[in-house]
Amino acid sequence: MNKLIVLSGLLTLMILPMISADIISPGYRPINIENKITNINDFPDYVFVSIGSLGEIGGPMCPIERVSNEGFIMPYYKFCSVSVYAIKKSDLNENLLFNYTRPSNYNETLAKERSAELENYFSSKGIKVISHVSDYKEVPLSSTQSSIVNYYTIELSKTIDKPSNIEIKRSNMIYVYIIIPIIVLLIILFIFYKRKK
Amino acid sequence: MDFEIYYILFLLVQTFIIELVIVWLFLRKQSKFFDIAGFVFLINLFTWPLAQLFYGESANFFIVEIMVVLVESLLIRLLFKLGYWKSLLISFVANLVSAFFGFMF
Repeated sequence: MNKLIVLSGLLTLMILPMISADIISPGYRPINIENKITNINDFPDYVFVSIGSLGEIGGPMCPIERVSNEGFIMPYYKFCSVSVYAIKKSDLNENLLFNYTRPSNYNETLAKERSAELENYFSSKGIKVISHVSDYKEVPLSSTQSSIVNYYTIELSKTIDKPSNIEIKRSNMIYVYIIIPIIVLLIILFIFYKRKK
Repeated sequence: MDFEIYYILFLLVQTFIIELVIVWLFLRKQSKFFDIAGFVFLINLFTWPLAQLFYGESANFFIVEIMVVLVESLLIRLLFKLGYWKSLLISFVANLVSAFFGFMF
């Protein structure tokens, strides 16, 4: 009986972090992150696709998506590890990438086979241009950040893992955080002035 | 108002009340309660928004707190006409207790 209680306790301890991993931390809020390739039109012979990985490539949680003509990378589930590949238009395999019909029930063997097939395809036909696309961020509730746009300027000869430029959009709270201390400082200086007199 | 605004106001009021109690415990014999409350309110309104601005940019908690302790000690010294060490002690204790409560809740 005691062993059962200890085992249940250990199991609970193992499961609890997994549950809390998908919950927003107290005192924090998620902010919207957009990712955009700025120079996508410089590569007219290529198609850009984003692939997500969560254990396996191209699973239902982290599908393969086409990067839009404007260069926007589709948002992913927060735990997906996202990369962007460039594929020559002549090498594009639409059926493998986009027209795949998933079995109605998850089949681990099929999922692994597809993952391996995709991995082979991307390593032979694809050029990894961006890795570690950041898709999710939590900021303190008091933060002035409201959204972020990551701009990537890509080159086919190298893989970048950081945005070339980051645009942070802020809420009006930034004015509150700056104006209030200035007003208070003026009041304190006024108090000194009155005292000195 | 958004939940964030309520939460931020709650944090400010919480910090104000905790620091007011601490400063009052130190200075109750030499200053009137409303003077203490007014000055602590001004001090908090000066340092608290700036600290939040830095926390929001993921600045290091300890560095921000040290800056807050130093600035508040300077303001306490000037507003309550105290010695430097006593001001520093009051500021340190007040911020230590409010940080403790911040972590707890």
